[in-house]
Amino acid sequence: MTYWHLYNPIVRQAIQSMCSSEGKRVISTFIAPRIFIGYAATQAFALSVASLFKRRRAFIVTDPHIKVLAFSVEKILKSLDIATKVWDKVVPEPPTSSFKPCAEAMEEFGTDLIVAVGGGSVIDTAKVAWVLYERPDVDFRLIDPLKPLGLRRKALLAAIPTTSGTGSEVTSVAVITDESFKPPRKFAVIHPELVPDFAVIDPRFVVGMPKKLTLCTALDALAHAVDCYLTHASFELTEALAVKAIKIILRWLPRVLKRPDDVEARLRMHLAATLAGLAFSNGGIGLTHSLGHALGKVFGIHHGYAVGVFIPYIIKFYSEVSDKYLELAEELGLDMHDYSSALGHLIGTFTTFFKEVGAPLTLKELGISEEALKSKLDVLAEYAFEDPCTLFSPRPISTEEIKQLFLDAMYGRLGDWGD
Amino acid sequence: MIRGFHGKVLKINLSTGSVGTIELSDDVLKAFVGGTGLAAALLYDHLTKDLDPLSPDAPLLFITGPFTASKVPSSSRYAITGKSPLTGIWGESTSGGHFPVALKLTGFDGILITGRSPKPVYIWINDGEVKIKDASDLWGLTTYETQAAIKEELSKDVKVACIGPAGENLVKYASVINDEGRAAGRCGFGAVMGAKNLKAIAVSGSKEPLIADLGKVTELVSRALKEIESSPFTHSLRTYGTAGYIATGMSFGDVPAKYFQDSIFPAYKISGLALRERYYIRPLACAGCPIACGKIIYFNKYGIEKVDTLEYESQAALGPLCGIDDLDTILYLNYLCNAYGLDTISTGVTIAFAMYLYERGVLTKEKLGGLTLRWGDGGAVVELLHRIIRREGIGAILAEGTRVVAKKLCVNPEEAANVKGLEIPMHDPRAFTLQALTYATSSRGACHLRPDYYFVDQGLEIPELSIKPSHRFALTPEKVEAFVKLQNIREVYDSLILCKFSPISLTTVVAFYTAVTGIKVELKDFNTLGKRIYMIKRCINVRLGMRREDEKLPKIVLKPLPRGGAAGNVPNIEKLLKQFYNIRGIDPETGKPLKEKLKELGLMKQANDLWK
Repeated sequence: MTYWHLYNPIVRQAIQSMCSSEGKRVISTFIAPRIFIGYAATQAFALSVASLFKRRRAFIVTDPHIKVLAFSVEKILKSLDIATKVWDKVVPEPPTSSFKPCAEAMEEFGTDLIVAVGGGSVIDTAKVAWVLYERPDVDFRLIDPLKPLGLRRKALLAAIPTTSGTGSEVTSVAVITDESFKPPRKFAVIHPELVPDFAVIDPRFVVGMPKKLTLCTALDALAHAVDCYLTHASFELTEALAVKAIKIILRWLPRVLKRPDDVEARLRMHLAATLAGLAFSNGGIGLTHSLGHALGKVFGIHHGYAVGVFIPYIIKFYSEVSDKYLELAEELGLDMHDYSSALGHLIGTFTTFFKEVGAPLTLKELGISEEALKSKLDVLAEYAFEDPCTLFSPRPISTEEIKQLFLDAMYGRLGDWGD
Repeated sequence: MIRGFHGKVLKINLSTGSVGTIELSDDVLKAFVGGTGLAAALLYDHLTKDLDPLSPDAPLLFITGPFTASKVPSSSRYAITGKSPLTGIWGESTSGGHFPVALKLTGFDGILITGRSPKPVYIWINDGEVKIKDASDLWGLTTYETQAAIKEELSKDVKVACIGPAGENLVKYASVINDEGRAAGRCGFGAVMGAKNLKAIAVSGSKEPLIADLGKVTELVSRALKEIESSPFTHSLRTYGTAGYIATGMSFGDVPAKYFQDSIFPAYKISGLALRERYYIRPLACAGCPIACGKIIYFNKYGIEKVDTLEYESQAALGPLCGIDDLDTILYLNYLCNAYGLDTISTGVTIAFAMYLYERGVLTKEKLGGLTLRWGDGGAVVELLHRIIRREGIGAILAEGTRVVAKKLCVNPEEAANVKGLEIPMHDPRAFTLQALTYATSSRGACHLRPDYYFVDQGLEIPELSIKPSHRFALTPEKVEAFVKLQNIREVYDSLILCKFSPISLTTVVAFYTAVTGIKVELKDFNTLGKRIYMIKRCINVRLGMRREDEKLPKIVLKPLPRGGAAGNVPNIEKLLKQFYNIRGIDPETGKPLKEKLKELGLMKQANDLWK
């Protein structure tokens, strides 16, 4: 039995009983930060929050590569007489050992505002370090989303994303790598109190993103949106956000890939990632992410590619138990005169789009060989099966079926609907 | 004197028309609680191996419990008990609604019916006055028509329990229906009524039983209501009824599809939410129940304006088990089962068995009288259901249940999904290992509720008994211990009689029992009462011929599922049974309760009868 709370089979059984569409109608919450959007969002955020803090001490979490962006935030905060400290030691896909030093630095500084400036790894590091700063007694691996944590007694959290993908600036999730596993393994910590208090969606922070990172992160957002929509824990509020996110990505990603400095396109993509984050954080997400978490970690593939590649396969996989794909096809304006071909049209929409933007559609295109995949199938299936996202899959899946999905994605097997 | 009872059961012999009463002693009430426990004690001597359940000699006992017609929430339930014509062993079936309270208010705690009327009759009991009335004009009517006709004749306020054509035609899994579409479905007591030419029982009255401490009951009601309202389960049941479970059930691999061969099906097309999206639905409560898990569904199809609650067991048995994923068809089949008086579980399983045999070529178009029986063919299922009710062609065989179907069609009995003759309900034993033990050891054969241990592993905790969730595939001695405790408690629930959906804490239930009856009990006494009730029913079954080797699951539900939430898991039933027998004090060779154990529980007569 895995030590982490959400991976405990008994906890998982209880969650499974609660995350149905019926359960969501009995009790749903929609949790979102106060979101500042636009070209002047950072200034607006700083002005709005400056008066909220007694000690006026902002601790900025970032990583060494993008700390220049963090400095720009620091400058704005300083101009408002807020004392700042930049902590730039975040490592990608943060390991379990990386949070305590950050929390200790928060404590030492006397922080009452945490500002995360960076991608998913930075924001997730800030979230977990924040927990340890507020609740040093808590083992973050055992956080129970159903029990109050009691954050916000010392500090509030603001997130300024510098990629357009993870949505972590608006979600209740932090993803952590546990290196005690061989191969290392990604775990999720989920708690409603982890949703940041403020999110700043400022396109200036993403204008310089490299093309590949732009594509990867966009695929992450697309996977959030598509998978959330098809997941039955998703409901009207999250469905609306997910659909809008998909539409924006389908329209604006090709343009932003063509002209990475197109700020208008950047803002749209930035918004799409936030919409998708709000959607899945409140409405659930399924197999793209459980399979993608496993694949990404075992083969060292960027998270966005690792989750994005599964989009067409899970649409097909879910369709045996649910007609929700028809609703999505309708929302996207696909030809619905013949229901029997709607699934093909929907999958085709995504495969065509993937080709247009140069996104991999198979594991082979991700550079994974057949032999390598087969040699890792057992561990991939084990990690994916136990991932909390698997609980939100509308269609239950066994480890053998997970292996089959990996193999389908290896060979591009989409039945009648692939190319 | 013990409160909560009138202290007497009405006794009617339909052969002679004689009416009398049986006085209930304090000792028997104390020892067996009421409901099915009391029924087992009262019927023990009358149920013999040679007794034909459809003969005039067979007793049929309608019984209430100390909670019935009290202010205890969710307690308007009654039980029908006797020897089951489907299984040949102890049978019990409970139902809710308004009939149970009205039955108790007649001034009797129950009605014991024997004999056979020379012509169709119904029994009318009004405030202690008993009449046996001609029902010749009612014979052949559906249960809905029968209830309406009797209300028309007597008063719209009377409550009626009746049978439909299935019971008249002695279909072995015919149900008894009350309050429109509430069913005492299992074990085939509709056929017993049919064999007695008894179409219905109508009740009305105002004789409230005395309550020991009314003030305390009132105080406890307020506590119980708080417990009920604070449970998420209440709100789910109030919104969806049990139909809200099917998608979650599929996620666990708990919903059998295509005759227990699969667990993946289009659940979201027929889910509780789909039901609410498709139809206008209003809640419907049993008397005094704040939960209201029942529903009125505005159907407006097949010329039917409204249909009753689609309950999970019916939804699954008449849906995915037969490969059907069309809500209109499932609702229509459910309506037909209610109208004609059929148990939806046994009906669904038997029809799915026929479809399975058709797929394998055992049943052919010729043998089916021109019918093709492919998975999901709702029209064919409707037709087959009518043939079962009329006992026409293959319907005459299918009307006997899966055990007899296998025998008559020379099919391996391991392919017939029943335990001790009772068809296996819609919780797959491969999804929750302890559910296999439930099916093997329940007093009435494959029952999903005695106990409903699958619910524990989904998150139900009973802190008073240290019962808590564990890995659903796990098999540990602690888990079997917890299972036995829950089984004991469920025996007490069926004796009180309290709805198993009530989320009232066990502590409150125990306090209610003392406040209603005046019998001072503690939690541990409930465990002892449950043990005694379980054991006397087991003694009855042993005397009726139940063997140790009958206590098993057929292989059809022990093949590993190829996919889905329960793929690969097969419960080790023998290991479970070994631990179970040890804890219960049951001889593992014969399945007989040990003599010392029976004596310890005060079942002296049974100890002597079983161990002569």
